[in-house]
Amino acid sequence: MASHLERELSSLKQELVGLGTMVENSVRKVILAKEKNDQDLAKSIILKDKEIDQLEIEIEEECLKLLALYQPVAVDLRLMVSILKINENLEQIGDLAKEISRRFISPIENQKIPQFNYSPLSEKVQWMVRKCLEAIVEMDIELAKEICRVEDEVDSISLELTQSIIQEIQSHPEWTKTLINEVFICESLEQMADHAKKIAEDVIYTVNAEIVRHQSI
Amino acid sequence: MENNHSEITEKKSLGQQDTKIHSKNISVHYASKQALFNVNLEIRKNEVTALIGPSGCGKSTFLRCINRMNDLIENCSVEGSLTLDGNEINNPDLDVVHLRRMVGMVFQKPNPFPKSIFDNVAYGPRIHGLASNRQELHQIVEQSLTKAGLFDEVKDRLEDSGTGLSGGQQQRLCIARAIAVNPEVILMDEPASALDPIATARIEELIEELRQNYTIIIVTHSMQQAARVSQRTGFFHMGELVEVDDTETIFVNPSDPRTQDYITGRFG
Repeated sequence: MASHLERELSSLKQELVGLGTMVENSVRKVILAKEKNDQDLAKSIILKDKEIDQLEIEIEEECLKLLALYQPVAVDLRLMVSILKINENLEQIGDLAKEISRRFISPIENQKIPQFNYSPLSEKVQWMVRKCLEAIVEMDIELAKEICRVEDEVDSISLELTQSIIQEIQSHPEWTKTLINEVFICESLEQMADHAKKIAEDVIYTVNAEIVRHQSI
Repeated sequence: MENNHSEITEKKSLGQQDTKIHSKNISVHYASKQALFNVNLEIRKNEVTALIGPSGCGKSTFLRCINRMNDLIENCSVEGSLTLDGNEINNPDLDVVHLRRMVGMVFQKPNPFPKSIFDNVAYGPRIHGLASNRQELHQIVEQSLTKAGLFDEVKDRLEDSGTGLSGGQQQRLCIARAIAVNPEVILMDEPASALDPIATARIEELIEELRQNYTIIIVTHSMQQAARVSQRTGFFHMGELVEVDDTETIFVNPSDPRTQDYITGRFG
């Protein structure tokens, strides 16, 4: 029979996955909104972020309650600490989706700037966020390690894309205001990948009790 | 089946100079029932070692081996080697009275003698002849009560009965009584389980202070207490020492699934 704490942890994990699903949806929608320049979709992401923030607080409060009531140890302690950290990282991915959306609804001069190909970057970021949730549910460290490796690829794709945007700014200083937004979007997607990697590292810590931050996996 | 119990569980071999007590293949039988199976454990000097495990797992039996309290139990036999500073505790020629002076014990329930506070502490030094006059005896009593963190609370009523103190004070009186004979090791068998949280906190603070001068082994059912007061923790299960390691490792990442199941409340 499962102990009280096991039941509480299981329900907390479900809440976390629920938060993850909301965040994953925001990431998927913001990429779509960018492709289609869909302002309504961008607005809906901003509205949804309030729910994400609220759920993040609820999960944190639940974690603090369980820490105080059960003083977990060993694998339970590691899971609890990881849930706290994953919760924060998910919320920050949601914030980045919201900030990208804000760029759509800000009044920007309608300039004919070149279209940049975000697909290689956005597909990988979306994959990382989606796979993070799988890794959390299954506590799958092999998948978590793969997520960490993909983040390196995201870094180089993002760098390349940013450089091409900067080149455009240098060639067409009159487009700077608009193109700065493109740099921001590119960096935000890269930061989403950073957060996904941190989540994957927490999954590895939960299972192996090994802190793998700041090392190549 | 019994061979499974003989696995060496000590993960890290300690330096000889650090070892105060060394148990090698200690097995204990109560008549035909085996209570301990080949326990191998090194206890480090000036450290607190916590022994945890479910009721009947053998942790108190092991504790009682260290001051030969099991001698008092009929049909109890102890096999294997157990040394204190390299000297065999199970040597039949050993002076057990001297051993028990070197290895003091504090029990679950405070058990002051029905005597004055002063006489409770003075009892050991008197029978061991540790004081040559009344003044020296007074000095020992005062020092012991001070080390036990009790002197300031009782200095004006040393002639009052020890049994009139609160539970927490009685337990500190028992600790003062144990250290009055100048032991090197203090065994504590669930010393705070009968105390309220405030008295428990005082005992735990005291344990931390005492380890500067003594080697302490504490049996406890409280995981949090083991985590708070000890530097090393050993987990016993069904008479076997399953795992011993640094306390932090035991409570964050234990090696044996049985340890993890016990400390996370999944069995026991």
